[in-house]
This record gives sequence, C-alpha cells and structure tokens, in this order.
Amino acid sequence: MRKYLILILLFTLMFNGLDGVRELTDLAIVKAIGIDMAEDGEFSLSAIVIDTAKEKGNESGIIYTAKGKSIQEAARNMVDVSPKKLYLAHMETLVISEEVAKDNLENSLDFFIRDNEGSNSFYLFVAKECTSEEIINVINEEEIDMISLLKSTQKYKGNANLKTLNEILKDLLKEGHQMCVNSVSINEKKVAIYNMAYFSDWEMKGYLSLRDSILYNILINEASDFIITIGEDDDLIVAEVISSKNKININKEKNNIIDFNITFNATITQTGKNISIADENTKSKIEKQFEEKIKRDIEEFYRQTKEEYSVDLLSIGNLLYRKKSELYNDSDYLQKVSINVKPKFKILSQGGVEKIW
Amino acid sequence: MTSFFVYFLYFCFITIIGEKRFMNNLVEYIKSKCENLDDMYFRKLNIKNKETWIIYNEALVDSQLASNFVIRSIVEILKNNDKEDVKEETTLKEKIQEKLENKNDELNLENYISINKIKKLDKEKDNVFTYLFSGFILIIFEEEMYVVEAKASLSRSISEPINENSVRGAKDSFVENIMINIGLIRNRIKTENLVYKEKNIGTKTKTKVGLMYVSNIAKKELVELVEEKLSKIIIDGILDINYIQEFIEEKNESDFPVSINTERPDVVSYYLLQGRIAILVDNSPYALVLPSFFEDYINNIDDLYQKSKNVTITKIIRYVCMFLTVTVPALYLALITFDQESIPTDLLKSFATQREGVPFPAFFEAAIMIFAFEILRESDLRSNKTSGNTLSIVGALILGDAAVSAGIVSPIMIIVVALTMISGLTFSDINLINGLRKWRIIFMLLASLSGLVGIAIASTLFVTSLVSTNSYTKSFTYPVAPFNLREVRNNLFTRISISKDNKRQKILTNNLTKGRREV
Repeated sequence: MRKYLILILLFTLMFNGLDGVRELTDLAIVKAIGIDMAEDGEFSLSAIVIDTAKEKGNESGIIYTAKGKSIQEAARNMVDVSPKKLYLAHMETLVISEEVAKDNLENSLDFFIRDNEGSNSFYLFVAKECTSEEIINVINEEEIDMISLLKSTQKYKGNANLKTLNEILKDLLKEGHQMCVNSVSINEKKVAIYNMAYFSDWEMKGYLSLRDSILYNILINEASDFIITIGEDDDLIVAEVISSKNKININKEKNNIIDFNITFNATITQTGKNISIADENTKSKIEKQFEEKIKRDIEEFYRQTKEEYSVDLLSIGNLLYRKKSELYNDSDYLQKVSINVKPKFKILSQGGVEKIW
Repeated sequence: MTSFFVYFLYFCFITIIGEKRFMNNLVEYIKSKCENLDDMYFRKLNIKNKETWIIYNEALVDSQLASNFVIRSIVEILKNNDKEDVKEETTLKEKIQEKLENKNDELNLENYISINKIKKLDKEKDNVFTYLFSGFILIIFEEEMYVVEAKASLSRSISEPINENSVRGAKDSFVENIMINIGLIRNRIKTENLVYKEKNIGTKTKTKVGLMYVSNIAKKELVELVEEKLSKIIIDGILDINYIQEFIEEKNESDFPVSINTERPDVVSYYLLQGRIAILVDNSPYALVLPSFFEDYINNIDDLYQKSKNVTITKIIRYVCMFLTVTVPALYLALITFDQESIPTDLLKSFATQREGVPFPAFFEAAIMIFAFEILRESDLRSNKTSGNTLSIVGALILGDAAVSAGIVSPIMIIVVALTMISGLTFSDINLINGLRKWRIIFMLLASLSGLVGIAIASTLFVTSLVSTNSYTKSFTYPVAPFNLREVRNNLFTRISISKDNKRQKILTNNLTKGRREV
C-alpha cells in the first residue's frame, strides 16, 4: 500500500510537469525582434521567425508584423498572422528605433524582462537613422548573423561591446551608472554596426564618435582588440592593442580626484619610414608617446561627457556611491571631481625582419 | 519408485523363483518398460546354457565401442570359459569370483573388458535406467549386473565464442558436454585445489550440475550458501544454466543480473582465481559465475590482454555507453519537449527543421523507433542465418531511409535511436542489456512527463535500484558502495598493471596475497 501511495504521489508530481510540454513543431522560434513606434502612438513589432519548413541552406525566415498598445498586445496580435506561438527564448537580437530609444525604452523593455520564457541573453541595438523594421528586413533578406557581426566588430574594431540586455539591465540597477547601447545602420543594403549610442536615465541622447566609442569600451573593460595611431605619413606608428585593463579608484590623497590606471599590451603593426624601434630607448619613447595620446584622448572624452553631454558615462557616480557617498549625494558631483589618467603602455613586439649579420 | 519396484521384483525372484528366472524376469521387466523404445538394444549371448544379456541404448552408446570392446570381450570370456569348463569345470561365476577375491577389487571385470569405467551395480541402490540413459552398457550375467560406460560422442567440437568476442584472448569456448568444459578450465588451473563437485538435478533429466571453486581462495560461507541452494532445487528437468540461475536467485528481484553468464573458459578461470564460484551444467555451453558486481559488466577480460595504460579510454567509453544507452532518448525528449532553452539556437533550429511535418508527438515518435529496433533485434536473433542478411537490409532500409522520407520520423530520431542501440551493444550480457532496456523505457516515460526533472527522478530510482541489488550477500555496486579505495583506483576506470596487482579482493576471499606458495 505504501508503495502505491508513493507511486501515486510521484505521478501527481510528474503529471504536473505535463503543463510545461511544448512540442517543437508548435513553436515559432523568434530570431530577432524590431520595435517601432507607429504613427498613432502604438507599438509596432516586427519579428523574424525561423522557417522550419524550408530546405536546408536557406537561412532566411519569415517576418511577421503586428501592432498593439503594448508590446505584449502586439506580440499576441501576431498570432493573427503566425500559426504558431512566438517563442522568445532563443532570440538573438532586439532592435529599437531611435524614437523608441528616446521616448519609450523603459516601457518596451519591461515586457522582455518580465516574460518568463525569454532568457534576456540577447543583444540590444539602436537603429540609426532608419526604422527597426527596415533593419529586420535587411537582416532577414541578407541572412545576416548578427551575433557574429557584433563579435567581430567588438574584437577587431572596438566600437561595440558584447553586453547582453541582462548585463545592461544589471548595470543600470547600480547607482550612478549610465548605459551605452550598440547601434546599427543600413549601409548599401547591408547592416553595419555603428558607434555606441549613449543614454541618460533611459533616454537616448546621441551617438558617441568612433574614438569615444572605443575609449568608452576601454574604460568599462569591454574592448579586447583595437588600433591606436600616432603621427602621420613618415612618422606614422600604428599599434594593435591586444589587451587592456582599467582600474578606477579614488585618489588616496585628494578625495575629488579619480584615478584611472589603465594598462595596455600592444604590438606595433605598421610604422612610417622615419621610425626605427631598434633599441630600448626609442621603444620607451614611443611608449611614452602613446601614453600621452591616450591620456589626452581620455581627458578630452571626459571633458565632453562632463560639459557637452553632462552624462556620467565613466561610472564615476557608482565609484563615489560605493566609497564616498557624501560626494555622490550632491547631484552636481560631476562638476566637483576631476580625473587623473595614468596609462601604462607596453610594446610587446615590434615585428619586422631581423637583421642577422 | 521404479527402482524400488525393480528391487522388489529382484528380491522376490532371487529368493523364491531362483537365479535364472530372476534374470529372465529382470530382462523382461526392462523389456516391458522399454516396450515403446525402439532405440533400445537387447542382445542375448547364450553359450552352454549360460545366458548373458547385453542391453544398451543405441542412440547414446557408441556401437563401435560396444561391439569391439564389450561384446567381443564377453564372447571371449565365455569362449575361454567353455575351454576351461571342459578342463577345470569351473563356472564363469566362480572364475570371476576368484578374480574378485584375488585382488579384493570390485571392478576387476576390467581385466576382461578393456574399457575404463566399469561398475558393478548395487541391486538395492542403483537404478538401471539411469545408467541405461546415460550411455552405459548393462551386462547381466547370472545374478550380477555390470555397467560399462561406452558413451557416443554427442557433443560438437570446441569452437570460437559466439557472443563474447575477443581481440587477443583465447578463442575456445564451452560446449554442451560438461566434461569438456571442466577440461577447458582444468587446462588453465592445474591444481588439486580446484574443486569440482557434481550433483544430478532433475527427476527426469538427471542433469549433471557441477560446482567449481578454488578451495583455498573461495570463501567457505559462499560455497556453503550455494551448495545449500543447489540442494534445495526440486524440478523435473534442467535444460539450461538459467534454470539453475533462477532457482538460486529466487529472491533477487533486481533488473540486473547478479551472476555472470559466460561462454569463455578463460573468463571463468579468471574469476575462479579471484575466489568466485562457477556452476556448470551439462548440455549448456555457458558457465555461471557468482557473485558478480556492476563493475564486472563494464570490464572485459580483453582488457587484461592489452596494454594496461591504454585501457582507461576503453573503459571510459564503456561507461559513457552505459550512460548513453539508458538516457539518450530521455534526454532528447526532455530537451525538445520541455527545455528548449537548453539547446543551442542553431541546434534547435536544426531539430525544428527536422521535426517539421512529422505527424506524431516526440515521445510517440521515439517509442515507435525504439520498438521497431527491438523488433529488428528480436527477429534477427530468432531468424535462421540464411535469411539474416535480407532481414537486416530490409530493416535498415525501413527504419532508416524509408521512414524518414515518408515523414513518419525525423532524421535526428534515427540518430538518437541508433546511438542508443549501438551503445547498448557494447555489453555482451543479454540479461544486462534487457535490464538496461527496461530502464531506458522508464527514463523515457518520466522524461516525457516532466522533462529534465523527470530524468532526475528516474536517475534517483535507477541508482536506488542499483544500490539495493544484492549479489549472493555481496553488494552489487562494489567497489563504489561499499567503497574500496584500492579497487576503485585499480580497476574502476583504469587497470593497474598485472605485475603490480598482487592482492586479491577482500570481499571475495580471505586469501589475499596472489602467488603465495600454497601449503
């Protein structure tokens, strides 16, 4: 009797699980979603759904579009055109138009945070100077793998980072933190990753320049590989930075100075004909030059964020919140602190042909 | 009862009616019993009123032996007797009596009959029919009965093992004749300590059941336990070793085999030297080795014949196969019906594309394929060898290509089922394969009910079942539970070099040191 009781209990537990059955053939696996604002103020959703009925080799999916007062409503309205229910757990890309990014970001992202099916590990993009539906269409037609595209940009150019929505949201929950989001644009019928778009309190303000995007990623330790150039023509030196690490801290002597200790490891990839890095002396001279350039650039970037954008992109607020909260409580803290950049540039190898006699 | 009746008759005749009539009546009695047995052979040698009967079963007795060594010898005795009779006037009986007295040996008839095994029957104890149907020749002269063994060779010759293949090991395997099987083992273990105890079990079949162990290695308690269990068997016939197995394992309700069935004498010898016990049954080309542990089904004797360092990967593959054959269909079902999030996107896309258009739910699809494969395996086992090829071609075509192009199953399901089944065939023990098959279905059912949680529950049940299995008072999961560090280190995933493995296992024997000079 006890045996059967255990079996019955076990099976009640097990049959409970049947609630969660989802046959693969009943799911519309969503690859990417674009959010636009329609003219009547409603959300307009366009989604790429993987086309499982297709022969192999053709990657393009089916695009469904629907409108609704909320994202949820729009997603449900999509059932009118799609025979299967949208399944968001394998979403790779979420594109939002500038309009959404400027006015309605918090409202629209809320759906993706709350939906228990989604895993939130997708990448967020702002569609620069076009609607997200256009981007979605190009992604689908050209069968673009957005993740590979983003990864190669992040790795070899440095003006994009690999923060998923989850990580961005986690950062946002920190005090004194502002976010930057990757952006995409359409360039000759191809999708191209553009520079970072910066936000202030859920509101998109504008785009950083290429140099600033790279600097931003260096400062948040997200850049892995990028190029720095000094000099021109015959005095040109190009260095490829292999790794960089930024440590941000409050100066021990003066409380209103923030130290940026950044280390770079780089290799020289190209030089003009006047440059020769034969001995240690010239090497350290060149290292100095790079350090100066980086220092200048970061100070310039900081000045810009402080004076032009008045957005705390360098997470200084977060540092102050953790270590000097009395300074952070002052709403005008950005004006009261100054920064001290201490780059350390190290050339690991300079390449070239060795003279052997 | 029959034998009592025979003796009763015998006593009646010998006391009341007299010698000659007794003999005729005994012969008549045997004749009446064998009325419908046309393969019985009766021959009367009648010289000078002295009747001698030779009775045997033609199917069981080598007629060459019978005529060359038995009949001819007796005829010659009688002829000599005739001559002596003329000269010295002694009877045959007296002459034999004389011989018996001279050497004080019952079996002295061998002086006349040049066959090794000859026995004078005890009129009260022995049943003539047992001997007649074991390939003996019954000789009746005057009031004495003698049996002479002249068995026809009914066994096939020693051939290669069919189910337990070996790359480098010995290529001989057991046959249906128990004596040949014992010989194959004795050929390997040449010591007087290798005990062989024989017993006839089965009221009708009188099958020889032999118990073998090395007396100074095997544990006495275990031997006594098995002997006791063997003595309790009451059945009309033993046709296979499994009859014995089911009797002595009557309390074992586990799905796993707790004794090893093997057709290889080198395997039996290996286990005997560890202190295990082997049971051999006449007419079965398999030996039973007990106790057995889960580990033994993963390990293969072939590992011992290969370089020890390289065996590790082989063993890991076998463990992986064990895992795969039980869980692959369940994992597949759980992932594609419950936990699609866990599959990488590209793989999920591939799965979804393949599943598109399949009309059945995933569980049903998997059940169809696994059932179809089991049908194929069963028919392959049962069919005769000539139609086997046709069968496998048809089966492979139907299961593989046609089912996919007809849209009944998805290609990925073929891969899943193939992987499951191929992994299962890594193991040669049919009882283990069938046990794992049962657990595969349990895993599938639970996985289809609640996904990965179901697999977790099924795994718990599986481990519980494994651990609660008991093999002849020993724990089945040894050396993991009860934990034995030395054995785990030496034999679980790796194999220690034979030169360094100088200790026996404590669980099997009290005689721990290998190669110690035996006193």
